[in-house]
Amino acid sequence: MNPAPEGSIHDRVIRVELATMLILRMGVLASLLVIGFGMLLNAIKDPAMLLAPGGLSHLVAPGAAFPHTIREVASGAVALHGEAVMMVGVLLLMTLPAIRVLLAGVVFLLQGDRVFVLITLCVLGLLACSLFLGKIG
Amino acid sequence: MRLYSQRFPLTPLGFDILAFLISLGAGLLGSILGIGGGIIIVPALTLLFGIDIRYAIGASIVAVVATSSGAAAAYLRERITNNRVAMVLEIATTSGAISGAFIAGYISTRWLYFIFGVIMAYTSLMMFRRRYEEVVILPKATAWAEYLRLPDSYYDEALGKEVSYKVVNTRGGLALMYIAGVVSGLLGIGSGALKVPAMDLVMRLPLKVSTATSNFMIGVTATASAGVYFMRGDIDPYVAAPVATGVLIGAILGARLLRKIRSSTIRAVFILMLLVISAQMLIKGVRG
Repeated sequence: MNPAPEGSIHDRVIRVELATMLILRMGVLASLLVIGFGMLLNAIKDPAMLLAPGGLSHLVAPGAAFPHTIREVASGAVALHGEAVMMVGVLLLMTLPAIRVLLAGVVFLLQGDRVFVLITLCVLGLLACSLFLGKIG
Repeated sequence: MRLYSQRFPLTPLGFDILAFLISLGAGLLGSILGIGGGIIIVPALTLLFGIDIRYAIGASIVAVVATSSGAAAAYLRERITNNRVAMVLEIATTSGAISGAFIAGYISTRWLYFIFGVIMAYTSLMMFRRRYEEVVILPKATAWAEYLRLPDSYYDEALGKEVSYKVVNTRGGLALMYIAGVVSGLLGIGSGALKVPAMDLVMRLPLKVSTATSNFMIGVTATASAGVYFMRGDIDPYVAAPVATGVLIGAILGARLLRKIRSSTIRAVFILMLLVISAQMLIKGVRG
């Protein structure tokens, strides 16, 4: 962060807090729009499918095929495949809580609150650890 | 148990609309109560539509993230969420969840469902005894809470005044959060439902602060697991899309509503929800 030429720590903290709110609000809006756009793409591509009974039969059994790696999602989204675009929206949504923790950490850093910077780092470390272990509630 | 089998009963459009509406309700309730809404999403998707449990759980993890994120901006603006409390307690919850995942293979979940079904019922009774309380402010924070500067204040629109509150029994709260984490790591449910009472009954935070702070915490924990579910292929876009949009809009509305309703009303709804979860757990415990 570039320190502002003037403005106390308090001002900078307020600015980060406002930025957090803005990012969260924009992120939520963006993911809503992207998911909606993906659903629309699917509807345009095959309108008859929308009203076909049993059109989602694959959902009642495991093993359905849909993009579930970052690469598949990215290439599908570039090709404007509806399901990949929907996943982009879902993945965007999934980044928001992590961004929120990071920005809360920035606030603690600005306040010079070493204990809480450490606590935030611990939380991020534990989350990374649980992601690595692959199982958490 | 499924009402339908083999063939999906609805047209895709019909499913989208129904799943959206159910999720809207789940987001609304979840954002106000500080829970993930999994208790609504998972049974609705599996029992009503016969969707495979893996996709239902994948979608419910997305729903938790959506509940948390949809309500986040409003709760931050009103300063209802206590970020400091959330961070401190998140350490305990996350380590609990990791321990839970480790011991998952060695413990019979049947007994756990039973034990926590009883604990949930007891918790609802404890909360019921406080049913007439609006906000109770304690005279003094304890040393730990004071050292971590946990006490704060928020503006309560329903009461029309700034409420500044104290925090007590931080260690008790940490211990309960650890247990909440273990339960969610083992059973995959009920973590928000244990977090809110821990903050409300043990640490004596105002109920609105408890639910908004729990709302933050469940989102953080769920994000980590959502990544795993995604890579495993459990997040199906056709289920996740209507659920995520419905929950997001529900949570945005819920966050607006939380400001206006009284804590005693939230408490009453929370108690009902605890009883439902308790019943769900006891049934699972009996059935095995």
